[in-house]
Amino acid sequence: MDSTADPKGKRPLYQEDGLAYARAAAAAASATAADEAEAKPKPKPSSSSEEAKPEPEAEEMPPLVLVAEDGVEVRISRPAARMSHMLRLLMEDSCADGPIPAPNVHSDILDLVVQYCEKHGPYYDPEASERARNPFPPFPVELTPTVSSIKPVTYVDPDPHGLKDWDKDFISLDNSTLFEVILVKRILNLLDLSSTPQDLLDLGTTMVADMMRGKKPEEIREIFEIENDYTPEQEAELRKENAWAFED
Amino acid sequence: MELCSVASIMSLGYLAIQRTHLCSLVFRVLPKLLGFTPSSLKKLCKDVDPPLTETIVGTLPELPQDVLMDIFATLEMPDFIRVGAVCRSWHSAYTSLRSLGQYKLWLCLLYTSESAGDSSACLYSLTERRSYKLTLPEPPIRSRCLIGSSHGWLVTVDERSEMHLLNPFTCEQIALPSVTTLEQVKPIFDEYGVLHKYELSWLTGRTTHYSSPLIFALDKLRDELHYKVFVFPDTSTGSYIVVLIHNPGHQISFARLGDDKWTWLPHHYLYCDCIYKDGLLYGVSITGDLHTFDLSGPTVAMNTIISIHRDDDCEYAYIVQSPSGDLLLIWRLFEDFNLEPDHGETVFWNTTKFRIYEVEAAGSKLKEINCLRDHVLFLGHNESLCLSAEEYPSLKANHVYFTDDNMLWTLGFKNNHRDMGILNLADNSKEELLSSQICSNFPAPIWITPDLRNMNLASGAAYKMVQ
Repeated sequence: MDSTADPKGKRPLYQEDGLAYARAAAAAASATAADEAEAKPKPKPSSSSEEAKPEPEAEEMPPLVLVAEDGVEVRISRPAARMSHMLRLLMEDSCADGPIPAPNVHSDILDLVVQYCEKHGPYYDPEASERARNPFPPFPVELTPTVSSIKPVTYVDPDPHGLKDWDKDFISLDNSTLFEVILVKRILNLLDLSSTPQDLLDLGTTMVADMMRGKKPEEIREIFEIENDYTPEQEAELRKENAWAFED
Repeated sequence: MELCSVASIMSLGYLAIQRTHLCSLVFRVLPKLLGFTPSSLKKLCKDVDPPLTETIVGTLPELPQDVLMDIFATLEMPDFIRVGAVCRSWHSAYTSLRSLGQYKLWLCLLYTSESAGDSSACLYSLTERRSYKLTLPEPPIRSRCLIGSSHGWLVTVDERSEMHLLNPFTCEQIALPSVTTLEQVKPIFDEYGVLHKYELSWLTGRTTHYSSPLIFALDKLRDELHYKVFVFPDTSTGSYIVVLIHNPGHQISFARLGDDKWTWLPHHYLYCDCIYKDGLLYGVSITGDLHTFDLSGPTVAMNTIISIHRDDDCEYAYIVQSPSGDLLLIWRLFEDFNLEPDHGETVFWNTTKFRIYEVEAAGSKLKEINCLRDHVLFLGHNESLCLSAEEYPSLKANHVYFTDDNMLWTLGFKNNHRDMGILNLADNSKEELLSSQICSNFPAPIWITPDLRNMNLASGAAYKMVQ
């Protein structure tokens, strides 16, 4: 949980050779060392602390400007932008100073995603989340859990910032918006194979999964507005396998 | 995977050339590589084709395969199967997950009932609190005993006392080596040369003097001989090892799929439960001993890990591996029983308590555990399971879900009320699983973890597939 470590040491669980190359190239050609230090994600308070104060240095850095497909500019503060692995990469490479185009994304959707990141950003610690997500990593162990990160069974996540309730309200979106949000966040998370459990992507996909439970295929098609591209004969054939699951 | 190639393209090609344009390139190129293109959005707009700069009306964007697979992997099996029938792209995600075996583990209770018919089994889902009905291949399931359930295989004993592996979902059946290949069983033929009885001896290998063997009708041998069967994946051969605990004296015999006979492990007896871990077969006996057997060599090497001599024998023992890899020994106590009832009353036995011990990693020591924390146990004729309640929110942490695997019920108490339910380890209170009106007592209900995949017979193994 030592977030003052060099960002190159804070790796996602699965190493991408391409990513290593990208970082090396960025570091070699970066403008000034001071610039890099300032653009680094600032150490954030641990999730168990009561107050999270926005870091003074980060506040001084201007927010990133994302430009949606309809030309509307959506601003996202640097701490919030850290929730996207992609944007983190751009910030570290000092590519994030000018407007960042986000084609295929409507400003309304982008706005929602930014809202989520702004809310969660200050409390985001990628390493703590990874351990919470996978307390029993596959052998050989690749993450050394610190004592503080292994939670006792009676541990109740304190959620001091009321994030869970906020999330519940936030994710009550209509299906179309929900899907868009999932897709956008997925792109923003790109290359971050260790995405955090409470991340907006997981929040969205969990929401979608809940909508599928206990429903028949016809009902699911209606909810998700999906066209049935099977002929009745093909569908009957499909249902013959594991017919038990389709009966009332 | 897409992501790997994207990363390498991003780093090698684009970075090298145009780092300053990285931002816009990333956002423009990657969505196309991932298949989320303006055209895929347009695809779903049949009648209306609005310019994309306006808010999307009516139809939802198509979710790409990897997002679908992430979602489907969290669904329980019935839901998982149903979403596979929605449309072609969803079916594709479903079949990918299924062939990888990456769908969620589903635990349900398999039972039979008179109303469902002789060849049907019912599956009770703990989450949905409802039952599904499955049609199973011949011979009728209600004529068989259920003595094992591991990795999606049910182990049955038919009316000729022969054992089969049965996958209720794929309807595959595999015959296990004949019961006559066990050391203790001899076939008896009538004057026409047809098998019509079995002779069961008392051979254990522990002494040289035995009582005379007994003779049983074909379907009666299974009341005496069989106790439990386990099916363990054997990673070294890519096949399965099948382990049978049988009488006399709860001894162990085993076979690999494809063998034509059972291999007897003499001199050791009184086993209640087994697991297979790290190439070793662990057996826990009713007397409190934990033994390991190394089945890999030409002769089987046995080792004693723990030797505690217990005097009480109204306790059954189980051994299980927790998700974190620890070995747990569990004792099941039947403090509430009456085996010699007065006239008009029935025999009964009820589980009242469980005692749980952790086997210390260094071996040979047991540490009693009072609370399972967030784990859940599933015990019975099935291969004992320990799950994390966090991954299965419908299960209650620190509870034991148990079915009746008491050998008493085979000794003439076939239609007895089943000792099964959910026990809360915190206060030893019990909850009923299913009303006895719904589920038949014979064959005894059993936990099952379904496997939707057909067994890969490409290796040309010699086992007999039963049609």
